[in-house]
Amino acid sequence: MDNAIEIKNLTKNYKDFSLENLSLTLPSGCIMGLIGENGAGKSTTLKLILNMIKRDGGEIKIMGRDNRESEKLLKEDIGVVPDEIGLPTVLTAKQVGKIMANIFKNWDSEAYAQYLEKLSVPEKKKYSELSRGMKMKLGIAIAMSHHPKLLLLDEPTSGLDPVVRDEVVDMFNDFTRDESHSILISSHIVSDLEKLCDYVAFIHKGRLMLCEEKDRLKEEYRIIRGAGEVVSKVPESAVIGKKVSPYGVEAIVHKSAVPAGVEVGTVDIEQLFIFMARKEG
Amino acid sequence: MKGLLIKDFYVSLRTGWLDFVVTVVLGGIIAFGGARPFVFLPAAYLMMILPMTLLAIDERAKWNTYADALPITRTQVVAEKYILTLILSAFSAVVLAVSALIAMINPMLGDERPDLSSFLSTLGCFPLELALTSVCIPFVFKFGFDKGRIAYMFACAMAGVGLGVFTSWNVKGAPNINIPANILLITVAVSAAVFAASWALSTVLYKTREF
Repeated sequence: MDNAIEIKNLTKNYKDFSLENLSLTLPSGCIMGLIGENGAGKSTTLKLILNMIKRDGGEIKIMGRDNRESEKLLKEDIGVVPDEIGLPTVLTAKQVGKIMANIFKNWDSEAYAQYLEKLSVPEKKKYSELSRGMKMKLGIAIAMSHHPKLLLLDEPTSGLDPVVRDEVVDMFNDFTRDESHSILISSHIVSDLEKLCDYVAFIHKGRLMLCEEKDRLKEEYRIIRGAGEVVSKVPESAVIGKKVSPYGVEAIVHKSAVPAGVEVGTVDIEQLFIFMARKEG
Repeated sequence: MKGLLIKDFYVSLRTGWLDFVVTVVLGGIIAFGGARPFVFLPAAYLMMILPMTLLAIDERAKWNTYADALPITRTQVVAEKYILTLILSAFSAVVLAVSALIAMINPMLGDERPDLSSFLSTLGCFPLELALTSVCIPFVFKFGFDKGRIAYMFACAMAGVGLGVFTSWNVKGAPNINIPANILLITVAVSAAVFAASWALSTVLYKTREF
């Protein structure tokens, strides 16, 4: 299988923040979720992939090609939903469609009209008159109407109500039914990522903590809840993270290291990330 | 490129409509009111700085960041604004030409009718205004509109002083100034060089800018 994105030792230094040696691979046909706290480096990673900012080291390949070569051509195949859709406030969705039809070679006006209808985005309202959720939906319609092979999404579901969020998640799932389509998505709403993603990557303070298949992660780790002595039965090296409260201890551990007889629960991605980030400090 | 021009066309119709109205009204005053063609210079300047206003709107909307995610190169983003400047200059030149032509054959104006050399001399000031605008644009591409507007205000002040000196700002009584042809040619050549240098500089500066 080809890879949609291959990143090796990606580095970017700012005065007060560094993205350090980030390496990850997104296989074609898959969805990868980037999870991290605010300022962890998720948006920086997306900007570097799009060559919007210059990297200080490392390699980025998109669909097998260096992202700096034939950049314009590559972007014909990429749909982007940034955290803020940068459209001038006086434009209407209809006008945006006409603009994009002259920017993208593969722009499909019919598909755009269908997305607007499906997402209930009014065609004639000025961008400034749209709610944050509507703006995001317009951004999603733009990103998907030129038949991209890769979607890069930065917090695309934020500001959407649960019903629309669910619809959007379904749209993204439909998109990856085609094996040549892939998505890299960053979101704070980990429950959405859990529904969507095949892979998850945790970024914390500019460093990649892990990049793994979601199902494997969920299979590999377990949560233990109870008194301190229960957790102490597990070897320290197998404990991923621990939270002590007056009511007891919660710990995420490697499933293989849990002694027989200790009661464990399945772990969700959000818990795993929080515990790992806490351990890293 | 076409998409960028269409975008700015829509945005300028919404936000710069007053500039278009002023241009047409001043044209009308020349054609039917007997004002000298020099009166038109502020309108020409308004048209030439409209791309600067559009740059400010882009910046406020974060269009520049969004455009980076689209199949548009930064060279194209810069080129579009310079081409737009030329298109708007050409538009104001056409309005001026039509107005002056009407004025020249308008029997109601009698002795107030401008002669051809007065019209040509006014047109000859366009490159000068274009050069002033050209000085400002690279600052905006490098530092953004908030910082770049210092250069913009300086250029506006220079334009104002220049206009004052040339016309003494007496609308009807302004003389039919005739700028010698060789001075006009030098002005056009220098302005073209400033415009080209500004374009190249903006491209270089914008390519290295990080949002």
